[in-house]
Amino acid sequence: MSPSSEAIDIGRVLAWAARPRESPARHDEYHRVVTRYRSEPDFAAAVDAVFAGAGLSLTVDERDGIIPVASPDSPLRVTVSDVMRRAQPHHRAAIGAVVLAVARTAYPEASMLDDPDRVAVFTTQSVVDTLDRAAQAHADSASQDGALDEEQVEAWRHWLAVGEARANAQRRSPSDRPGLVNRVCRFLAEAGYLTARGDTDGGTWLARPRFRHAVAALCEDSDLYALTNGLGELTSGDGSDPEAGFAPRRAGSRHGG
Amino acid sequence: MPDDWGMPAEPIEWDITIPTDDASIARRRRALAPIQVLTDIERTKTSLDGDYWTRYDLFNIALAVIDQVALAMSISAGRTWEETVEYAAEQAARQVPDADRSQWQAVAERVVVSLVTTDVETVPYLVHAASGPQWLAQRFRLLYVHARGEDGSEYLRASEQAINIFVEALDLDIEAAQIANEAQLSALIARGAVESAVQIARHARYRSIQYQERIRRIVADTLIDPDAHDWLGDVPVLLDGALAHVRERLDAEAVLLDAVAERRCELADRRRLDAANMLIELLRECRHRHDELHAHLITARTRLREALDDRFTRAPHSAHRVDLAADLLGPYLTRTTPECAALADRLLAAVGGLSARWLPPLSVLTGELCAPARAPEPGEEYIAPLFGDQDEQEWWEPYEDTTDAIFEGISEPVRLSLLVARADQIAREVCDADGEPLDAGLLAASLVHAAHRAWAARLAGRSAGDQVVVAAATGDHFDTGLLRSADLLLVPGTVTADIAEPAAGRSDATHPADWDDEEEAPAA
Repeated sequence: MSPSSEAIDIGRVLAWAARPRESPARHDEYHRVVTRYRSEPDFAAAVDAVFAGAGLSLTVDERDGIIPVASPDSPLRVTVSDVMRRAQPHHRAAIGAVVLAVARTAYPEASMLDDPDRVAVFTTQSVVDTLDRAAQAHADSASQDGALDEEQVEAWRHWLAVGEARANAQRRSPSDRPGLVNRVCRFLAEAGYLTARGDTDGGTWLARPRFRHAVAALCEDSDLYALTNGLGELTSGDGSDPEAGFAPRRAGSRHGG
Repeated sequence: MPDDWGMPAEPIEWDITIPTDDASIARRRRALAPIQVLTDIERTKTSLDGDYWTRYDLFNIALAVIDQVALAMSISAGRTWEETVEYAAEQAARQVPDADRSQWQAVAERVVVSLVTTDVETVPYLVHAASGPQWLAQRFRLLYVHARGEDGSEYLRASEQAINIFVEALDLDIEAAQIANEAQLSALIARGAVESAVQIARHARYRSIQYQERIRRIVADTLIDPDAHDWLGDVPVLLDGALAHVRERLDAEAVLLDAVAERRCELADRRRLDAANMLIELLRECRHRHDELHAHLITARTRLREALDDRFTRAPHSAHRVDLAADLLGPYLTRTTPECAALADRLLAAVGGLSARWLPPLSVLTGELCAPARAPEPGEEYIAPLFGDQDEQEWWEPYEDTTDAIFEGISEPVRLSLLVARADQIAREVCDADGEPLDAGLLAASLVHAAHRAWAARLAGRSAGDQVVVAAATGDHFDTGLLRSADLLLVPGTVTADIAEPAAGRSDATHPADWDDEEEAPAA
């Protein structure tokens, strides 16, 4: 293959990476670039380098397609503001907790992240229950009330402060727990990771196979682990300096499928 | 996934008293758990929204759904979500024919979702170990979504545990049971008891499905993690055993088919003839299943070898993974608000995909919005449109609210130019949702618009006692540099008599200011 055909194919990888609802099985072109990525290490390295420049790392799976994972400072990443406009800090904290709870509810066991056949089905209510239980565990072991300073209040107190579902509410608002979960799930559905399946228990969601690749990337992010557990310095998360170099967090992995 | 089908490792003792730590008790406890799920679906229905749930028997519908899914299963396929919900809705309709479709649909979805989401939670149970009582967690599923099919199509399949409910056997070696079944079958056919043979053949069909599901699961587990099974010892033995089993079953089924076909010629009784035909049908289906299983097993070796090759070239667990609950969700909840807010962005960056919203040109967007709906291609995934239902205020709402408040506060005639002059001061005092003061220019514009609406105040449909503000032109103009407008006089008033709506269809020739028509909502 000539170098120019390589450049063209890198562009195609980018184009398909931005189409999360498509799968290689439905498009010959998509299938071809995925196969090329998986079988030609030089091509894969070139693709990874281009994407690393945009702050993206790729997981390429024969069946699930190309799953891009953005680094925290990539200009192409999505932010909390994309989920909820003008979110206040305590909203942001709750949204992060919901993202983790959705991942946890879809994959309650670590081994499920390796199961290419797993298509998790979960309800909004089960995500709320997961978070309620996790927050309640902290509440039970907490010996005193939260700090007066809004900045010092822990996230679990925020979650417990979010209103419970209103009975027979005709529409959900993000000011109650199921509404907030649905807001995040709808967003993930737009991103191609979930599919909505009816309204039972506040909403039924189906996690498409590609979601497990993204969640696996989350679990492999050692910086995230360090920050979450208070082992590292928190940098500004608002990406105020998008020109800073985005180091790819992990090499493009080509396993799976 | 715990494997229910392991050979009992403990020695069999012929003891009369069975202690609760007996292995068979623990095994049955685990095998009965799925039935508890079915009972719970039925038991908790009264707590659901809506008063119609008592009219339905959800347990029955759940059983029928599992049965339907199990019978549709082959190695790669099953029943789609839509088909399953549709089937469940039909069953609901059979139970309560006078209800409407949306109710049947709600019942159907409730049952299917309950069956599919069982493995979100673990079921705790108690065993007695050598060291004393010990709690273990069981995770099982009844129906599950399976993304097979090369095009990523999704099917619902029934798990071994679910099929077990139908086999009525809670502590069972499937192969032994299968052989016993066939012995029973040939004996019954030899004696001409074709109806009983049909019952047994139905039973045998569930066993075949169960066997097929077990083999599929073992092969799938091995593909995920080749170390999950012993490659040198157990797996080849298992595959050889399975192949031998399938070959024997195929032979046995061929013999049975011949036997039944032979007996059929001798049958004169219409009813028994039908039964014999049904038996042949069932046996053919079993043979088809075994053929399929056979093909799957033969290719399984190649696929397993490929998985192993793949494993040598790239190790699947090259990166260490942390636990979602213990290492991320738990600690996250203990962080302070600003820390969490920063982490939330990081989380969304990882699982949010690309934010590449390449917007089309306006002309293309308009064209797409106005185009007739495109019929989906066959097999295309249908994605229901998502509507954002947001309670957040739109940016202009504070302006409209402020304008309304100013108009409500008018107690004596006032010129528009005076109100606009006060806009600066009011804008400074009122805050929007973010706590920012309003923009004076926008507020002035909003006031001018509202005043012109009052110029053509809609009075129809108002009743006596309503407070209204009407505007009248003074002939003067004002110009603030930002705004140039006719100066209107705003006069508060009270409606003294009910004003009827104009008759429908009348052309409104007497409308005071027809240039303002579209400003008026029909029922202002």
